[in-house]
Amino acid sequence: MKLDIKEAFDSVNQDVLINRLLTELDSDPIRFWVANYILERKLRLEYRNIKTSSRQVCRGVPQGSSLGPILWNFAINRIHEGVTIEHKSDLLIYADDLFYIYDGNFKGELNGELEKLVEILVNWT
Amino acid sequence: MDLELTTTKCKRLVLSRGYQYGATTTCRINGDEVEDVDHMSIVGLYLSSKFKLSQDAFYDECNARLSANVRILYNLTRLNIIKTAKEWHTLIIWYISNTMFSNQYPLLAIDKAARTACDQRMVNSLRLAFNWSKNTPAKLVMLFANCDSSEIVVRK
Repeated sequence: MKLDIKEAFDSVNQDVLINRLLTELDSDPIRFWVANYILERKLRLEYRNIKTSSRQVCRGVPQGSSLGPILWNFAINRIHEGVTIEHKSDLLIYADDLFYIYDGNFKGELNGELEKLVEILVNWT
Repeated sequence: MDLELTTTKCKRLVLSRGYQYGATTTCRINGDEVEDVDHMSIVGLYLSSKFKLSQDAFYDECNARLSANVRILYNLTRLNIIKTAKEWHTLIIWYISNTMFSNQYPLLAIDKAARTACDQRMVNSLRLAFNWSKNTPAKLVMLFANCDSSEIVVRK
């Protein structure tokens, strides 16, 4: 099953991402620098020489940047732990493309597993 | 994580091993039904519910990529800047063989019709790229281009 995450890169919860960075990059001083980069992102709109005031970006990772997909991987790379069962189901992730592979034959079995996955995507921290 | 799934963009492909595994069971995410498809690409690997490549969808995608690549090779032959057979071989592998075969090995291995069709497309592409006559025998084209047939590529 191909799963599409709604506005994947723009929807990453920054608190979760920073928690993950601090855990995964334990003792590496670069983690504070990257966390600062995520937290201090600002955007401003400019149209016909009229500029708005800048606003802090509170969600997501920057798209089109080199670091964006890496940060996304940090956010998503442990998601399979809650939903994969050996010899039964697996989750393949390539950037924001998610493929859930399930080997089963009972009605409703897959739906139950998918509900679990949706729950993890929403509430996982 | 606050991530949501867009159910309308989610697709399910059932690789059935018998009637009891069939796609009759509706799959739902957040109460919405997920669309069933008969083929999909997983990071470039084409998968079909019939375990066959001999389907129009694959060939359409493949033809689109091939025609662009054949044009590149045709232009290179006209420019006359590629001098050695080795360089040509690398370009043919890159622009023709890989477009036809790469990522499709599992299905090509079990679908003889697809292998035949891939070989024919490869020969036609080479004829076009090098402006060879349509009557040039397929074996000669493959020999000139130093290319393996899909069966040999898959075996390798």
